[in-house]
Amino acid sequence: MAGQSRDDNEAIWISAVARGDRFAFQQLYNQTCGRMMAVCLRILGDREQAEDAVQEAFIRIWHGARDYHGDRGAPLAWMLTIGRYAAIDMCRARRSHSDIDEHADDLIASLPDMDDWLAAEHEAKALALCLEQLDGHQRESIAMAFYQGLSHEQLARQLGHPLGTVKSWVRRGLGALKRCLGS
Amino acid sequence: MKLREEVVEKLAAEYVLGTLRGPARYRFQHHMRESARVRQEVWFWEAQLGLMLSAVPSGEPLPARHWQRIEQRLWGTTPARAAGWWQWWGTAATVMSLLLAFVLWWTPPQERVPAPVFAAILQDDGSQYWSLALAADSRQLRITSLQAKAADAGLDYELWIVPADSAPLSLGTIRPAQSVQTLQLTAEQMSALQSQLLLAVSLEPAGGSAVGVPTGPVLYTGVLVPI
Repeated sequence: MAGQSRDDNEAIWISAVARGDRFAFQQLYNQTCGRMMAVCLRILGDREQAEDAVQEAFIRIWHGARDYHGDRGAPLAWMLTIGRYAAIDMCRARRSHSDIDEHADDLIASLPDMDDWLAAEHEAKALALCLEQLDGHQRESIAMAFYQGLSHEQLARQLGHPLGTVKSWVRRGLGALKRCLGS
Repeated sequence: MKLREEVVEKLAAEYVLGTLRGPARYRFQHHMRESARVRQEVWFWEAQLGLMLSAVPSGEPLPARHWQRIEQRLWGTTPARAAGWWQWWGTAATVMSLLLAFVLWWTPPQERVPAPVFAAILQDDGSQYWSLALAADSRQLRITSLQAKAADAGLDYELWIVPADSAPLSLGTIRPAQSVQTLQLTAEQMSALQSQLLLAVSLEPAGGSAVGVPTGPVLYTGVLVPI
């Protein structure tokens, strides 16, 4: 219930932003920029670039607030997803010359503690239950791709398995997740 | 070209996960713009996988210069040393606050709110407004509608405080038909109002929401600022 009213409130804040209320936008920024930074930093591994991604994300949120509605998920998740895309776009430009291996160890260390998260009581319970049912390889590759913004090739290198194998873990994992969430 | 259903499902999931890359990612974005079905599938995955982001612990808030860069990019404002609330609102809101002062000025003397310390303009998508003035010492909230339409029969407007991190708090129902309406606030409402800035008006069944949170559409929002 606490989560629900928080979502309701954030949805109202976003509707104020959609009306062009700059003050509401600044409040929303103040409340969420720390979390947005953490999400982008995991993907980019570089503070300065993550700060640029956060900036880009909030520009997109300001322009996109009118397109937000309940089907797009919880308000905070919607905002952070925009941050993920901004970071992924940025690392695509950067990693075209493949400097990912330079911070490979940091990447492994930057996976959030999924065990704690899976066990916790929260609004993502259905998703957490379905993630738990996945095969370990599938769950690990999905989590690494999601939190660190890795491509199939980067995943294969990080996990030390052939590209085809890793692609099939991701594909089958997502398929199983969809069936589980739909049931 | 229309994508087959199983292809939509696979590509949407990999797009949101981020493993769909290169030209395939751009082609898929094109399909998103063209097809409601494709967007629906993307939203499904964004809503679901987006929940995983709650596992990421929050970092420290960023230094103020980052917010100033966003302001600069969006509105071209120079990082203002003395940025006041009137700058956030812009010219239109300045006119509205003058109107608000005018409304307060023309209140008969015996009813005048002594020393209003907060004011808000609650705005809809168009040109309808509510103006609010709050006197901290008497806990009186005075409300005037500017061009707001009367609610349809059987419905009422309800005014809410919307805190960032707890349930909304009702301040009661309000009617645009009355020229100036006064709400006497409780101490609890007053302290919530002084620490929380966002106010909203929703459309509710007559008498207000029966469940203590907004159930109808939120039509007006605005921020309470000291004046």
